[in-house]
Amino acid sequence: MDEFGKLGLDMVIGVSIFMLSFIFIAQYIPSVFVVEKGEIGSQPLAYRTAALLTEDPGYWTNGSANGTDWWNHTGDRIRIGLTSGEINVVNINRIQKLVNFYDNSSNYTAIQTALGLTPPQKSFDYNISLQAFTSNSSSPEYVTDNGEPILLIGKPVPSYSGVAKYERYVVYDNVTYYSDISSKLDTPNTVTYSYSVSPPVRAFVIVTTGVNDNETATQPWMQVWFDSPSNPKIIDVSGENETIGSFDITDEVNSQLPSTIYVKVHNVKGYVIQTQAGNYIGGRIGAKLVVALW
Amino acid sequence: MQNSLLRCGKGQAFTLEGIVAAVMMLMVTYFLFHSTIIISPLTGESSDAQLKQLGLDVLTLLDNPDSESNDTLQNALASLNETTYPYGLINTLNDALPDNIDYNLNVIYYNVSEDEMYTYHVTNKAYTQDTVSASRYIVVRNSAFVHDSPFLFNESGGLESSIDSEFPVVLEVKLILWRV
Repeated sequence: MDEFGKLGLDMVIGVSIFMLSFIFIAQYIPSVFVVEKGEIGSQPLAYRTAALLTEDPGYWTNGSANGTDWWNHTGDRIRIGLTSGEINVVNINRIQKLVNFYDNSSNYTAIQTALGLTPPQKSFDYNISLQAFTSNSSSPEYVTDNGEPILLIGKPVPSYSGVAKYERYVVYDNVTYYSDISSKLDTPNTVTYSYSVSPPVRAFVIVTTGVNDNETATQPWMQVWFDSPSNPKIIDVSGENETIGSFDITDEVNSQLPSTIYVKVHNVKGYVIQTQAGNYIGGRIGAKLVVALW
Repeated sequence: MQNSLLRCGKGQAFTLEGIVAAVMMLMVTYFLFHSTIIISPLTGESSDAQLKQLGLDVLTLLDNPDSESNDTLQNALASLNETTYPYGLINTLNDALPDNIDYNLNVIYYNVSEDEMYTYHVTNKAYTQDTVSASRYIVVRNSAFVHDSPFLFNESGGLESSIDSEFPVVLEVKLILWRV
């Protein structure tokens, strides 16, 4: 009997199994990229949607007339935008108009059309929100006003992959509008202001814009402390160079968790803001506009 | 022939080894692709675009010459010298950018005495190979700089023939970003 044939049979079986495995993997690998491909396909749409909202004031036309107050012409052809001219600076009125237009999802499809998310081949579901800078996909932190998200429209973002997301940083066009505390500082004398706070806060900022208009008053100064005058001063500045400016004490408030903040000032004008609507950045309150499509 | 094949232990052993090896390869490959995030060139480019956008947005928001805030590009760079570090600007950048992003902040300016473009490294951290950069040009009045500012025009002459306190100094603020 010829025993050399057995080796050939082993080889055939081994190679067959290997080839079967190889073919399976070769067919399987492209399917691994399908999700990525889908995400990449909708990524430009997510970019475009975010760009429209953060760089454009909006537009409407009925064929004979046009304008940018799209919320007054929702029956015509509209393009939704949130700025009032300057890019990355969103207009609070337009945000509220968008939330009102969404109207608890009754106009979900109308907004989908206005944002150009209904191309001929496929309609894209969306979720558009304003989130804190520290927010991420696994634990979104929506910026709020009176406990309610300032902007959160669309369907919940699905947990499976294939969701295209694009983020833009924006600031509000009114720095004090969404403030829980919005207090004016304006005195030629020495005054102690006190503010009750409930940390954590997204921003607590003291802004001194100049000295009081009374020109006979002496040099300005400011002291800030938490809860008790015996506690260390958080801010202790004097003279125009040191005192005039903005003082972001959000980190101190969130780490020391005071219940009352005292601001003692002399000969200044300015304001104090505390807000949950966003973070203080470049003298304004900012947040992250997040557009998710799938 | 067939009977001898079935009776032969050596051949069967080789076949089993082949099966085991193939199954092991299959399982390893299967679990490998299931447990690893595959970054294809296209997804890499798209996330780089997002990172560049974040950098541009942050610079846009910090370009606010009307504000008294010490974290604006104008105020932070006007008070910058060898001993004054722009903590306000750096703190804001740290707070605004995601935790998995690191950055270097450079300012490119024209050095009058050397008649050359110079780069001032506000931060100078070691970076990875895969970086993106975002730039923004800002204009600061000459009188706004501290007297020992590296950006100060302190000579007469130049294109405008006389350089006074209102002379507009153009700075390119460059943010180099990378993932950590």
